[in-house]
Amino acid sequence: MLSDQLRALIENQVQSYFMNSDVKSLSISPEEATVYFYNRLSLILLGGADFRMLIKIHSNESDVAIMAKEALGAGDEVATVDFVKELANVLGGSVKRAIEAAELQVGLSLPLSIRGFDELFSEKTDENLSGFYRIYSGSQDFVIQVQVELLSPDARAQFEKIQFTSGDDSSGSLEFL
Amino acid sequence: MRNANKDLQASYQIIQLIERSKNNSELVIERLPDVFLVLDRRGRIFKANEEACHFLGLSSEQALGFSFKDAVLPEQWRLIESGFNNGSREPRSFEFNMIKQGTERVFLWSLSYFGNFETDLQLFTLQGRDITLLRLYQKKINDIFASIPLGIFTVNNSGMIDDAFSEYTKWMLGQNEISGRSLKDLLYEPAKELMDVATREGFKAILDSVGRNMKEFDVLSETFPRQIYYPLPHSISDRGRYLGIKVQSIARNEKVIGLLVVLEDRTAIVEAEKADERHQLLQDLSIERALQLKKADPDILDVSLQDLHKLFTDLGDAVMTQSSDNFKNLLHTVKANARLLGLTNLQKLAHSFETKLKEQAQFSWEVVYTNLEILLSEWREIIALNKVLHSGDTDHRSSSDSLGSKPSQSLWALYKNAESDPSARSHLEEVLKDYSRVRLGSIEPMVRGSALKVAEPAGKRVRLLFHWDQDLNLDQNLVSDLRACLVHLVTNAIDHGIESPLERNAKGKSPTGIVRVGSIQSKDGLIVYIEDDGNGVDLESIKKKALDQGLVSPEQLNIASESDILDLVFYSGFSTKENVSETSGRGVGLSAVRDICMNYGGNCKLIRTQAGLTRFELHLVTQE
Repeated sequence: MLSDQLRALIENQVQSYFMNSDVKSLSISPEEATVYFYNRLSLILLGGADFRMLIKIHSNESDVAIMAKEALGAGDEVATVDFVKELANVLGGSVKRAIEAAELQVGLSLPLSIRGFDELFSEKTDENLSGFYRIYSGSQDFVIQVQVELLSPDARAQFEKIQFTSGDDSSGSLEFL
Repeated sequence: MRNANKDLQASYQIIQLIERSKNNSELVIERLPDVFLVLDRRGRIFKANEEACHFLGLSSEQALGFSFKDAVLPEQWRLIESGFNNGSREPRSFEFNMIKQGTERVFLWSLSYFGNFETDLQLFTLQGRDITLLRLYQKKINDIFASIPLGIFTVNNSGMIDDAFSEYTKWMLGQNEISGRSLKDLLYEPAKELMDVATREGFKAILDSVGRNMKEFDVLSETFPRQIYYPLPHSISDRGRYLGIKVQSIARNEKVIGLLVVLEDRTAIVEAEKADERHQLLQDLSIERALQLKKADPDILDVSLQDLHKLFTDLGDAVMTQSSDNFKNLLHTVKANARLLGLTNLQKLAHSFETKLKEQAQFSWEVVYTNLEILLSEWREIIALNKVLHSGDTDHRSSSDSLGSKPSQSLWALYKNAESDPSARSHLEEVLKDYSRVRLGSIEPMVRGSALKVAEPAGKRVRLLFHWDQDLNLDQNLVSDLRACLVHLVTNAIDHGIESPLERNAKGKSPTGIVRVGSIQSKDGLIVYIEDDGNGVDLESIKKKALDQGLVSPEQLNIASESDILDLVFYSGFSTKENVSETSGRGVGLSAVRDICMNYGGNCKLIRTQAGLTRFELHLVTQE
């Protein structure tokens, strides 16, 4: 299943981002999926002609500060924001590569990270392709949400051609500006 | 490629600006001094500022998703819920107390619709302002406001009284509740019967002024009453209050949308003004009388006054015997004599008395009772004035009269003289004695009051008539003792003598009993009498009682005259009434009366007059 592949991809990316095999991912079924109450929203958008894909990271600043400190050695606000934005960027980049491998045109936005509780809703969200993943690292957690919107009738067919595999190519990872 | 890179840089910068702007707007909300929350219908918190977190005792991260429902009491939550279900999207306000850090605080909440997200997620903002201090100051102001001795309240555009009013208003109007009542119902309805036409119309103009424009209000306000008499509800006495009224408009856009009404209790002022007027009138009357008496020929005056005196005594007799024709003739003669002497006020009173009697289809003793007293009091004034005017310049009275103007100063001078000159001491004593003298007529109010107290509960109707032979000045101790005697004898007469109106009717008597109190100067002193036309004295009953109580033996009774038997009532312990009532029948009163008379070297008698009246006579020696 496409969503399983996506989940595997995200888990893989998160683990390599944290350089820590202890990181656990728990996918949440759409029925369970509800509003997640975290005080920071980081997101990145992948936009194609027939679809739109939003990768959101719901996190608590205090949790991310601890994770950032472990990973980067610094836990101030700038480091925290950069840490979570870069995670969005890494996830966006890996998904983009998988889509481009299926010869679909796709653009990747710059990551955005905003303070406060926020949520983006869309009525066009395809629940089969979308997913929620709760990530645990130590006693900290955050939620990654992939929200896919299909904008044309043949978008699904296009989407099903995509193989969401992480592969072993790490050359495509972007260095952020 | 370079351009694409520039675009990317620009995008990155704008994203940074958005992030910063979002950060700032979050900070603004976080640092609001009020509790600020965004929540859904279930109470889940989507946003909580610092004050809200502080209030809930949670960190900002814990507060997210926390149910506000769990932080408030069920009834408070119901209040908030009712705001969710409010059809209109207007903000709803409500107030409730909450415990914050162990102290109770008052919060004013404002709930607004925020937006719909997805199909079933409706969000609301809830803002709570801590108004504890505000309420505290409000209470302090209210306390001050309540202690202002003015009735202050506002009236809304439908004529109803608003919630905010000074507490004093309730007391002033004798009302338990004021807010929510209409101005018409509260002030106008109870008082309208007592208003004159202008006041009534003026008050209607007040009621009519709400909703008008300011120019019309200004015109109407010219007619507003400045003062009304307001009868107090539930008042034992029939007293009311004189209320000064000030009405001011509460206007918006040149239109009167309400009224501010300020009431001032002017009762004391108005009553003082009235007393002043009355006093002035009495003074004017006295001057008028004095002038009339001075103008009269001294020789005719003496004779005519004696005639008038006789006429008044006869008038009293006519009342006692209920002889209406006689009464009418006598009254007419009084009028004629008054005219002859130039006593215009007495003449006018007699004339109006006659007119009132003539207005009745049948001769009415009720009219007599209400008017005779007025005529008599005028007569008493004339006698008293005449005595002052003609008391001669030779006797000591002139010196004491002249003292009247500056008593304390003159007394002091006399005292100083007496100190240095022993012969002046007797003069001082003389003056002081005069000072201790009181008018015999001063006992009337007390006797009247006691009579009323006895008659009313017993359902008896009594007319008290006073007839002092001369308005004597007597030693105040004597007057005080006499007062006690008269109070007792009058209550006795009403309690034992005067029958109920029904009984009197059955006996063919007027339903109102008559008790006459008067005095006659005797050779060596004074005779004070009390007469009543009640059921008289039952000799047999006195005899029986005296025998039962062992006051006399049957042999003694056999040889006793009527006056001896009547004299038995003055024995200590004697009472003919079966039941001891609250007012009389204890059998100590009459013996005490006799003791007092004996103290003054006199005695007292009970007499059955030929006309069937019961008469007590107190003989007192007053000559020194």
